[in-house]
Amino acid sequence: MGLKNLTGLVLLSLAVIVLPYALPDFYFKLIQIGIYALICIGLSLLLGYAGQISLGHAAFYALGAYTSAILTVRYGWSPWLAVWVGIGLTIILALAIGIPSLRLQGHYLAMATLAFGEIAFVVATAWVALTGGPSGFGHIPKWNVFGYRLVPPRADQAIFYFVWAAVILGLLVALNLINSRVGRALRAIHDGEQAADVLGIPTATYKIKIFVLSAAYASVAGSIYAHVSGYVNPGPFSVEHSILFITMVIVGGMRTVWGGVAGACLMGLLPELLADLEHWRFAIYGLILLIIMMFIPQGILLGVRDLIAWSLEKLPFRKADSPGETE
Amino acid sequence: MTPDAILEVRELSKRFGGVHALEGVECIVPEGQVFAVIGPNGAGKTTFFNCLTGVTRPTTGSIRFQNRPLAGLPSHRIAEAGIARTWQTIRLFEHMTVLENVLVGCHTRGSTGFPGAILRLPSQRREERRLREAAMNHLQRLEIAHLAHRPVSSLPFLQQRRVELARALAAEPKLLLLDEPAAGLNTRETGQLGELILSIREQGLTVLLVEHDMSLVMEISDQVLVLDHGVPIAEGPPRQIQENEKVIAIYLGSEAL
Repeated sequence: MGLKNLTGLVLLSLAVIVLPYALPDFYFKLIQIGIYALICIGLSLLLGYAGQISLGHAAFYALGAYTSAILTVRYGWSPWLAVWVGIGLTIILALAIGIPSLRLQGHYLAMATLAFGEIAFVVATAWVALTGGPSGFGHIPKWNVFGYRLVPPRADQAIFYFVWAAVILGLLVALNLINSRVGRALRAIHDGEQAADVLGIPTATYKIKIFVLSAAYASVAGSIYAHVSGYVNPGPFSVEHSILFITMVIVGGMRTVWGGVAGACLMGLLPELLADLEHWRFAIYGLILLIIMMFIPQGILLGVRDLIAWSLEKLPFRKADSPGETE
Repeated sequence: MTPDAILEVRELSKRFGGVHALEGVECIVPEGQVFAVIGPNGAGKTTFFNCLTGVTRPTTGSIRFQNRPLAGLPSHRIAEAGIARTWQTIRLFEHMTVLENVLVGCHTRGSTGFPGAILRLPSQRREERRLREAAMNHLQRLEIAHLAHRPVSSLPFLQQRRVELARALAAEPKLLLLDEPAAGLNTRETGQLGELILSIREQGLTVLLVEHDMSLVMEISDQVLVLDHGVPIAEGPPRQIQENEKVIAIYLGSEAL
């Protein structure tokens, strides 16, 4: 997958291991952010590599969460099994949405997923017998990892490691996919659908498959969320959340899966960092997002990279070096 | 089907609303030849290519490639059957490097799917090495191997042309469609292109060529088909076409305008 990505994964792993010790009062805020990051990795595969928009990822997130919650609470299943049922249901629904809308060119997927997102939210709210309605239901069992029950708050560190291990695994899967024949085909579709088709790439099939994979990421994130929080209700699964995920991906930079992680971290932490500003914080938050979208359209991750490259080129010490090389 | 014909087109018509872009086009392209399609602007040459590659669906008519019917198949099936093309206006994947563009051209030469890619199976890594080697060979052949890792959008026009040709060749097609490959080239470059096309033919590929540069067409083509307003008006070896009165009339007529 290339040295850069491998280095990135190693550095991220080290950061994850060290963080609970380095910032003991802070790291647990990254648990929810890690769950968002997992969704955003999947979404960036769809958005950045296949050029398709899903406005229903919060619904797949909900599908994973509710499937895990219902199977473990009502039927006493193991969380490890429930995740797979969530993925299975998500694949079926994503195929049902993706096949008709992705066979057509244009943004039909956005419309279909928007409708699906709304329907899922209504079902989660109104089907009280199944979902517990607006108040949801709790007592969802915790993950049992190698004999350790992950129970907050004492086990925050274990949960943190568990969530971020999932993020790193999610990154690994996405990076493997991108740096392959399949990944090149997806990027080709994004750049020129007709040219890709004429080179032998079945564009509709590829778009459907990447949409299904992307939805599966959200479903896994939902299952993890249910067991980490121990409680589900419709609140975190509204269409506004779908839009939040898209914003995270765009802010982070959608032409790299790392951007999904960066965007989730930045947008997840900004409200925290701005908390001292009290009621001004929403205005500042909006302003920062606006500035990023307007001036760094490639996202913060590539923006920072470009900035470093630019300063290395422009800074005076570089100029002083160059005559030395000619001697 | 005629023996040794790789492509046989019968009664091919394409209408866009009331416009007859192609009307009753017929041709038999023998294997291993350079077959040129010429005609004034708007003669339907690109529409003809689009029908052959599944970009547009012919209204009526049949296309047989190596004895298999192609009309109505989606583009990627036609590509799998062994037809590759370049475009009149370059259509490269602009966010990718030169090598990556050519690797996309190799798509039909590989088989790795989603599971193989995600799990990074040994078979996938072997295939990746094989494709990279093949792609580099195609770049070397077109003398752009040193640009392999450059973003394709940073290259000048002429080199983008070469990348597009390398990408089409990377599919290892049996029939190569070139849509005005000499556009924007000077005389010397056109000469080199002619030699390249002939060397592609040497390797056993059949080349279908749409071109405005008449000296190039007359020099390298085995057979020429002339279209005017979507209608075939003449077909034959270059020498015969040059002396055909209908053809002369069309070209003089269009130049007189």
